[in-house]
Amino acid sequence: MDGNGRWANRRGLTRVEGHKAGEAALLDVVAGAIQAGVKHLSVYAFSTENWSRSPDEVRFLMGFNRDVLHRRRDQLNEWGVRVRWAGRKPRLWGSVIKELQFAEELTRANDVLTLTMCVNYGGRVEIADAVRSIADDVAAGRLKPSAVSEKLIQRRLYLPDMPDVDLFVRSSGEQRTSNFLLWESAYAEFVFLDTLWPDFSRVDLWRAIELYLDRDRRFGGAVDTPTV
Amino acid sequence: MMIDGNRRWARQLGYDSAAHGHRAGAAKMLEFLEWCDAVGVRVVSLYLLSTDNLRKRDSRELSDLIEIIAELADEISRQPDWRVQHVGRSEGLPPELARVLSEASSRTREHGGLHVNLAVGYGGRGEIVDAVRSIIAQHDAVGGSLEELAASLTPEQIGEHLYTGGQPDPDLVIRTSGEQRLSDFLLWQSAHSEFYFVEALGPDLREVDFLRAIRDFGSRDRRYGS
Repeated sequence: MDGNGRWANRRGLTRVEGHKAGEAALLDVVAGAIQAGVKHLSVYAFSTENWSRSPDEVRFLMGFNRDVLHRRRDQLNEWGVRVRWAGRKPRLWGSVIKELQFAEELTRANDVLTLTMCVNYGGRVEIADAVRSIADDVAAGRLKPSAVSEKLIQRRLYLPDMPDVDLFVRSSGEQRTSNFLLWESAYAEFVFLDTLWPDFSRVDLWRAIELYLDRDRRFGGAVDTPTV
Repeated sequence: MMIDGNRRWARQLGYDSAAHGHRAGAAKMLEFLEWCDAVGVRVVSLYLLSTDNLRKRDSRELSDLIEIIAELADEISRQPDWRVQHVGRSEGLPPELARVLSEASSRTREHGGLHVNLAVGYGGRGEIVDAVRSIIAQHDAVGGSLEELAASLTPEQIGEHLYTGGQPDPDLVIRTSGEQRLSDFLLWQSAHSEFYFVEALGPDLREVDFLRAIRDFGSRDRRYGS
């Protein structure tokens, strides 16, 4: 969800107003995902790298995440969305954690779409956290060092039952993943769209899905699909 | 650099065997390294053979590919000042290929010019697993407690134990043939890399495509996540 700041700059608005416009875009994209039959959608709301932004902006983003969750949880619940949190606790405001946990609990039985809010998330640190939990078990004699495998790391990620990312979409034209769902996106198809996040709508999501459907995914194997 | 599209290139030209495409791709990689050297790139990583390829490709194509890769590795290592490093697992590689890669690395160990990582038998998730195993083993060997490791392990430590430990993260990842995915290449290392996708099939890559990639990279606004 990139581009809130630039969108605001272009209109002579504050970054805060950019983030607020981004909230509407998020809800529209969630609705569009449901219409398209998508079962898992993850959004990058706050990264571990975002802590290095100005204290004012960090303070705003913490409060904003908390408020959006509070404000939108009933609507998401009505839509049948199951809200989940991927991220870590250290430094994350208690009030944000509370909202995340409340939303998770409220929507626990829903199954239309699982929406994973990545808040205080970083791909490399997620892997390091997984490895630390494995090292803990090795230290306690519950695991042998030789048991470390891709499967084991996968099982110790924040949300082990989240499937790998099929389609990775980034708004605002930047062509990089910025440490988002690093492990999970090893084989994801990238669609980089120029649209700034507050201008994003369900139509942009559908466009990304169409581009994805045209792709030939081989996962390292060789598939002789006939090409037109 | 993820050179992709060799097989499609061969098929388009009417060749029966993918080997023609892989050979053309290999020759292109040598050119590509020269372009990199000419603009002052210090480290280049070529994705030549993934652990997935080893598992999934049919055996005839694979044995052709292995031979071509061995020849390429040998040729790269005979350049005056380039340094070759094998990045990947040697176990699981045909012994002859593993030997060629190992010799290419030792032959060029003292070279100070372009550093060329050859990703052969490589998988990004597997690399992370190997790094973790190496961290645990190393920690054990110096008599450190695993409780201590479990408490103190940092992402930086994982980075240091990857096959590319000590090297800078890639600034730019280029993939040919229009495919837009990472395919488990330098998974950890590319967390903040810029991606540039070229439509041309691998063997058709032109120097102007490369220069455009560099110029485009130069105009990117890198924030490293913040």
